[in-house]
Amino acid sequence: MAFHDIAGNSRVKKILKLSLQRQRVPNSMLFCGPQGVGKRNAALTLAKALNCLEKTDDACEECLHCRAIHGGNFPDVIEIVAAGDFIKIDQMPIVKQLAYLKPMSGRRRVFLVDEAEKMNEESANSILKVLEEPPLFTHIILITENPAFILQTVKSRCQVLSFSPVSKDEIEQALRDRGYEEEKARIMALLVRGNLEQALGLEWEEIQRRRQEAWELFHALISRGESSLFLRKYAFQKRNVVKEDLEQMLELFSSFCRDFVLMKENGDPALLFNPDYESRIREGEKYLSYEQTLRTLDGIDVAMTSLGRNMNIGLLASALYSRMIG
Amino acid sequence: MSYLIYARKYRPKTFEEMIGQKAVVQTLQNAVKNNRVAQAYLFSGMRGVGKTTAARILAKALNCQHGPTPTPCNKCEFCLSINEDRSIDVLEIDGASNRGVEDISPIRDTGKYKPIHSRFKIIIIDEVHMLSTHAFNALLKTLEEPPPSTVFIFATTEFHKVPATIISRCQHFEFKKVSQKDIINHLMDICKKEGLTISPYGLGLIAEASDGSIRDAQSLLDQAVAFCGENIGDQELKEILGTVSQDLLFEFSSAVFEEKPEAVFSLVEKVIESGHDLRFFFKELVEHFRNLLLIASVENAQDLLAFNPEELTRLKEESQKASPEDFLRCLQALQQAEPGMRYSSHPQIYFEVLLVRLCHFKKIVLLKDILQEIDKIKKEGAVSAESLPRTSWPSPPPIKAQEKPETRPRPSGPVETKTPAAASHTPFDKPKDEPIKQEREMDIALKDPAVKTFMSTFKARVLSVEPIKGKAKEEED
Repeated sequence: MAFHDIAGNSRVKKILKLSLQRQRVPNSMLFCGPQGVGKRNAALTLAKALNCLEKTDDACEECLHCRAIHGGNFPDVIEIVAAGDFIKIDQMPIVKQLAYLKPMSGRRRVFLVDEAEKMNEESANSILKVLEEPPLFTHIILITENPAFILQTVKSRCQVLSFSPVSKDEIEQALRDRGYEEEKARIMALLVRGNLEQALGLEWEEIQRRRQEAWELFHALISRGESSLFLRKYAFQKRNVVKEDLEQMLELFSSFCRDFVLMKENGDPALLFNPDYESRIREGEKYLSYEQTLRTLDGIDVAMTSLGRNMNIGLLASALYSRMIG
Repeated sequence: MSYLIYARKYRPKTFEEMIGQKAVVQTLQNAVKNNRVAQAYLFSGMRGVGKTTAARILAKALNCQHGPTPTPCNKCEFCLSINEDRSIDVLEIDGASNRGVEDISPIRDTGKYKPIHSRFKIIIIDEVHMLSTHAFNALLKTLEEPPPSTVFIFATTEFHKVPATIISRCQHFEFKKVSQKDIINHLMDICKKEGLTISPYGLGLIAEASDGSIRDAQSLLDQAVAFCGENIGDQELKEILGTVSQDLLFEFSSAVFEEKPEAVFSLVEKVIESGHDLRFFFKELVEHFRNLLLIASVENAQDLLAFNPEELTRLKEESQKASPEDFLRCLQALQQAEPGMRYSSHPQIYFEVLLVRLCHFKKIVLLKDILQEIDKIKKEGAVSAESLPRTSWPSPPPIKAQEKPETRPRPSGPVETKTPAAASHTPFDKPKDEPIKQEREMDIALKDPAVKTFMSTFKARVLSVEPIKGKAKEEED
């Protein structure tokens, strides 16, 4: 994947290309930006471009090095991913030792640290010295969705590149290139909110089914219908079984709630997160008072945040349930 | 092929080159000059202000061929070997990677022996806050009475994590944030040496964004050069720094003060489309409200704000839209939301809802004004205080409340849902009902001159603060 194959983020791509041309690629970098906007792809492309045999400012995708990096078996490009919930300090010595050795077959050594926010305090601190003064042939690229969780001391040692969400038009275009109908592509582009990766990975039918399901659950909750459905589904299950499912549900719930607020404020319907659900939103919005909607949103937000923090799922679901019902 | 980033290229090599740490530098220089070097130093301070640099320079100052000197020559073998990190008598240890007792024992052992080549054996432990408790304790005895030729230097960003027993054995130096002026001067130097052109305004932008850290400033300059080459334009610089346009900020504050919650959604959309990180934008918005508060409450605000005259007049106009108390309340609400904003899993929704809430904050009527109103009525003598009817209370908030449903019908907004019982708790309509119940006591109390002065000075502030706390309580309905 060369730089022009990465959608959106022309500013970032321009910076990277210019720095390659001027041979001023920083040795420590932090790529931050929302999920699925091509941070990792950009980092990989940068690694290829630094080692490419054909070009100096982009990846050719054809030479031995580019293909090897693509296949993940190039000895000088190493990717660090979280082992479990964290990137642990045990994973760091390899970076620290190899960083000071000359590259074996390429021109530069490149380390990619995926989900750098998962570095715990020990491991983040332990690479500070390498980040500050890496040898000139070593590049360390940290990738994160959530720069707020990166230590200040780490951030200050890196050149920070922020990726922005891919614009709706670009996603729409990308989807239409894959044979989506115009209307579906438009709605899909709205639904994923700048997350291109997600847009390309999702099946239209699948996502519609999920949303239908979420709406039914949500409607049952707010209209005091068969609201125990929610509890039955999530409160008595093991964490690893329902965690992701619940997370998606909550995300959809919060998008419904947010649309309620928009409707209550007489906002522009074109700004709805769920434009195809407009009539349902209008109907459902009547069940909740203004304050209740805001409170529900707060509740969902708390639930979603604590979901990532190893909270007991049963308790979490019950708490949210009573908050929405009560 | 390769290049050194500015932060490394321009790492100071002598005490004189160090920026903004006058007190520390002078103390260290005098200590070397007067041969009163302590056995252990602890350097603390925020990122990128020169702790490690100071430690290295001190090592050179002590080991330079030309005697312990406050001005190391950077030419002799000893200085060069320290600069290139190959001196065997200067150990620079990464405290975060060598944090256990077993990593510390060899250091402790080497500390006992005399230096091999140089005058002093210098042990620098960077990121010392990451050492384990046991490792710290293992150091204590050595640190207290090391051999005369051994000097320990610790550097850390997190001073509070260093045990008190360690601190008391060290000379502690706190490195300050570097002032904007110093940063600008330093960047100017770099630009001159590198042949870069950049406007003073641009330098100001970088200095502000770097928040007192020299290294951050240098990194940003690096990035700017990578992006625009040798001529750095203001517009491009703004793009790199992600500077938020003033227009957008004004649109936000107008939406809040003109109570137009429906406008919030499209504005947030606009922010996202222009590629700003919402959390970053949030910070800028807080700053904007702070500026409004400042201009509304300080007379010569232009001295405190780095704006050009047009921006100042614009700020002034905007600040007419609400009272300083309103700004204060918004500012406080924004600040309380900061952690939520940072950790929220869905910042866009969080931000939108927060702004909608701000839009519904009512204008505050000062208690002082209410009291004046009472006085006026009393003096007119038309109504005696006891029979003061409800309607004669100053009316801005109630009228607002009645106006609302007409202008913007909402199924069941917070304004309409208030029952008399709830009303005494809701912050929005406090002046309407609550004081009425106590009008007799209040009337008596108000005659007391002491109470009078107290009320006029403090109540205005209390009033402006309270409704936000009330906001949380309001969840009871």
